[in-house]
Amino acid sequence: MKLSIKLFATIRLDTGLKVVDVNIDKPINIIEMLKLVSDILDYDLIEKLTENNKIIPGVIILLNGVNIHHINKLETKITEDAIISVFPAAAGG
Amino acid sequence: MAYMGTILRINLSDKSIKKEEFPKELAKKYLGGRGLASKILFDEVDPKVDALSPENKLIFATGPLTLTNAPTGGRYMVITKGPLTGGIASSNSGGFFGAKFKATGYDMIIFEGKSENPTYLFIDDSTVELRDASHVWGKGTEDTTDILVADSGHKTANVACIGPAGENLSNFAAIINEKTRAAGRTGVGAVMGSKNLKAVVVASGKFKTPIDNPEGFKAAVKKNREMLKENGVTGEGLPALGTKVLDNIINEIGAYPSYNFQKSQFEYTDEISGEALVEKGYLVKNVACYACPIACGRKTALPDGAKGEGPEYEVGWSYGASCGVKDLIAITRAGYMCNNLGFDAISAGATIATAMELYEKGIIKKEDIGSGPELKFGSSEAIIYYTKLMASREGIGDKMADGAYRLAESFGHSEFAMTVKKQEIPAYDPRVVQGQGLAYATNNRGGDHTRAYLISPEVLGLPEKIDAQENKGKASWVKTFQELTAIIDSAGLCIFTSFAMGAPDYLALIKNSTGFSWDEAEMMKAGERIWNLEREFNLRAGIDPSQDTLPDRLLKDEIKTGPGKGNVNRLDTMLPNYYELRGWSKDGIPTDEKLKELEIV
Repeated sequence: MKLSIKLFATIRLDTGLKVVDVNIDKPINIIEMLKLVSDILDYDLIEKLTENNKIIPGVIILLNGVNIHHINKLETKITEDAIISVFPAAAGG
Repeated sequence: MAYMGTILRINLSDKSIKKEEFPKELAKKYLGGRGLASKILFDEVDPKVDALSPENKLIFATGPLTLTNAPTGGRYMVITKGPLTGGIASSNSGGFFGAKFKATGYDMIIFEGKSENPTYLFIDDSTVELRDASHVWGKGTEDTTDILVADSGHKTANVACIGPAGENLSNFAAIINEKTRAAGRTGVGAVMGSKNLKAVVVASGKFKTPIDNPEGFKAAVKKNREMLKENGVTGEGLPALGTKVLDNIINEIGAYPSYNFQKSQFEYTDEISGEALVEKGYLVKNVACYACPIACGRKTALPDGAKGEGPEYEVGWSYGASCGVKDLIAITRAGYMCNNLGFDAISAGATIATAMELYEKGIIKKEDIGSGPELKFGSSEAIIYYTKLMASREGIGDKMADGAYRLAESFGHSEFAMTVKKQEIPAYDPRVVQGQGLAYATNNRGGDHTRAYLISPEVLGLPEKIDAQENKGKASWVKTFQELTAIIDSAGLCIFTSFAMGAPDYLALIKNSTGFSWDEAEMMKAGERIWNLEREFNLRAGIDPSQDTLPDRLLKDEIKTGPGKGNVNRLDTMLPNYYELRGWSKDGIPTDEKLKELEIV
């Protein structure tokens, strides 16, 4: 399976990357994906996006445009080719 | 306490200047700023008057927390009957003008009548006088500000003024302070222009806001400042990327309207986003308004040397995705132009987007635009050209200056105007964010997101994440947000504080500064009172509840692609519940019992 992880806001500015493509051979969940990408980038997405195994308020993680809050949060399984969008705590108006 | 105790009443017709006692008892019901000024407008102005006639009044108001070190405690509000919706108009602005004005010892200015010639109001610690403005009439807000600051003899004077858009009575003209901060929406600048009032200049102020319980207030300020600094949104996200951090967020969830809401995503978002503003080197630094620990303002510079502030998220969208433009330089320049010409940049860009759709559909014809560039989606040239044309009201710019609804209506196709109560809807597609759609439809000032920012829970997950597509429960969220926002505005604070602060935090600031013996329920009751009073003004002005709706495109046309595919806004499932929760009739009229309960009548 091919995952495209799109990085935004300060994560993009910090890493200089817009997207990271990852190939996986079995389904993984969001938290496993974050660990995988953190290792690849040497950039701690877990600390940036989570606290005590929960999503930090204001953080947005989308699986094919759907907020994982409304699927199974950090336990959400990625079972097919997918686009994951990752935003640190952000807002505006 | 927390009020200076004096209101200025300026009659521009006979040039009289009166100082009146601040209505302290009313402040216990309407708090200040937006709330109290709305009450004064309600009592003094016939809602049916022509908004641009001398019979209308224009009120500049501060809140009890303006000119304090409460976080963002520097805002002022402008309240009047507006020309765009025909209902109550209310717009607020940051920067430094509001705090400086209050430091002269006044809480509010009520402008009445109409000056025979262009004039401006000059205020310092000991002087209040009307002065001739003929030398700045016709000038943009930048030159006007520079000239009037020089004339004042105080380098640190602050100026709130109109540009050509206000002078030429564009229905969406803004009032601009410090060249870049706008009391933007609802056409308050046109009312100012109709009175031949070019500016308010505040040269110096020596007074401080009296605080009822200094120790308690200090503790509340400290706690709230720490919360804002520690919060990921207000402490990191907004300072780093400003409001334009939203471009990609809203686009990725499929709620980023493009091509005048014909689509719900924009294929070039990455090129015009907040991240792009940084990556392309246009962002110079972030800047803060008075007493603001967030600092979301963007000081920017373009490769040709042009400098200014912004674009903010909304401007970037209205001139970008909504007009199909992927040229960040042109978008940024259009934002600068709106500040200098004195336009509400949301309505300005959205009106051009409407014109583009009308042109591409063959409704506006080539002969209608004369020698101007074609009104095609994606045209950088068009957004610049027609912004200028709207300010001068030349050619088709005359119709465009009246706003998207009246423009489309004049060509017999009002269905292409994406407006609520004739004001242009901002940058969130209500087919994806259902509660925000209800908030648009029921907003007392028309299509607008800042009276109940449901994006916060529906998209950003603040204070908690709720499902954007769900309809159940949204009426309650909208009602609560409308009432708390009325309090935040009326206090003189910025609504961005609400990303980290909640009702108890605002209550602590208000109680310790004013000495009111409010509990949280009484504070929220004041918010409900303000909301119902605004509603009642609108009903008396002739805005009936049938206008609590959205354009047909958003209610009937399913989104064709993206994460929002297949959705429409299901307003009909939320509106009856909203009316019921408000204690209004099923037809949306506040009942006599409700108005008596709130002591409005």
